[in-house]
Amino acid sequence: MSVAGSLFDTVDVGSVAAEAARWGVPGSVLVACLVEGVVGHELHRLVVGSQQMRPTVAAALRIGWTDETPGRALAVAFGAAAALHGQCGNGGAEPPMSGPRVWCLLDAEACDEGNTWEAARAAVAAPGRLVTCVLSPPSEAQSLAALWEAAGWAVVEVAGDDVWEVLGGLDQALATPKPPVALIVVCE
Amino acid sequence: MSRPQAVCAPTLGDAVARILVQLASAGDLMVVVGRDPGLAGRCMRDCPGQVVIAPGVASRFAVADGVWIGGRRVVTVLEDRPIDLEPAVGCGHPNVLLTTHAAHLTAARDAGLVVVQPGWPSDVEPLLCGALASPEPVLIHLHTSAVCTAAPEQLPELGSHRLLQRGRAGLLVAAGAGAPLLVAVTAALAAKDVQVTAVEMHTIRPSTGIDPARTETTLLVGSAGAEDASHLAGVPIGDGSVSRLTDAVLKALP
Repeated sequence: MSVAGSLFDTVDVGSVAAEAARWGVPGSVLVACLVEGVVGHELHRLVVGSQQMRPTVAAALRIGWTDETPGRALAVAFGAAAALHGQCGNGGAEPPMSGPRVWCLLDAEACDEGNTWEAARAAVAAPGRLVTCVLSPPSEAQSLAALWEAAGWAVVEVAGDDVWEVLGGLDQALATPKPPVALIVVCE
Repeated sequence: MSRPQAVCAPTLGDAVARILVQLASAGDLMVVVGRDPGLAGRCMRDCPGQVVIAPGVASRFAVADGVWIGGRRVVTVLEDRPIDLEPAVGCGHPNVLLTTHAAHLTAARDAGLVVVQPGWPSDVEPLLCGALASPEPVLIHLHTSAVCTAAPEQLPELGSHRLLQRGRAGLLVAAGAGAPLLVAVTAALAAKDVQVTAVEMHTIRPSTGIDPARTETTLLVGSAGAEDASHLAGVPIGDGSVSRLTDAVLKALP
């Protein structure tokens, strides 16, 4: 599985949509896109601190992932990103879409934790490539986006039930080596 | 294994700084620090890509767990202020915590951590490498005492202790700052024809019943056959005067 090009080149949108419809819960499109396009790659790790998405991830993923409490997940993901970066020659001249990445799944509840923001601020200055996907209800999306931006992260906002938008957002996150990216996935 | 002659550093902190740079620049290790890098200051200067700054104490242990999940060995440097070390034990991943702060010894005992207290700079490398290979979290406390004696010939091995001398007059146990004094006091007692059993406990497991905070400030004294740490009396190290300490130990011997 390769993540060197656009995800639209490698992911079958129809099968992702069908898989997500089968689960039918908030965040299922995101999980289906991650399963199909990203996290099977050997250099990628997935840390899940979202109680909402945990059952879907557990049902969907056949590869290893790390289950963490909402308050610890981002700090764990940030440490893993730094470790993977150091292992791969510090990221030197590799193309922006390739190289190791850590994906962290959070929800609005995890964003109420002080430790999440402590880790978010520290991750901006740290080595490694980190993408945090935050599942958010529409009413909180704008304020969450502002908070992640204020912490120094690049923010991408997508409609969580639209496969094309989610894949586009993941593509954008993959193309942004620094700063870390917060993908706000808006779901009813 | 004999002691390498080249390994020599003025203080335990210098020794650990040199080893951290060596391991981190070889890609074997990542160091997690707070706002003050402390013992990792040289590592931050020489190989900044291998140092992660995590200002909050609570999230620092989580970051260290993440480093381990990312496939690297990890050392976490603690700041000089009291903290709860329970989260370092609860994670279930190996982690080596480095400190010079004596209050962390009590916190480590309360959390059930294995505590390592090197006595001499040349003991730091084998004990740190042993701790990095250990499957459980370990706290290494580096004393800042200026008292210096020649280190024992035998290299320390994590998890064991060093028997420096056998004798029937009593038992002396020391670790960390007390270890160089143990050597001096044992020699002074021998000069008075008092042969004691002298043990350096560089690794203290919770099951031994020895309080690592106590060994940092006292020499433990008991009868030669003492089987339980609770039967050992503590003779305060004080200012490190060998003659005063020898007299105090003579009085405390059974």
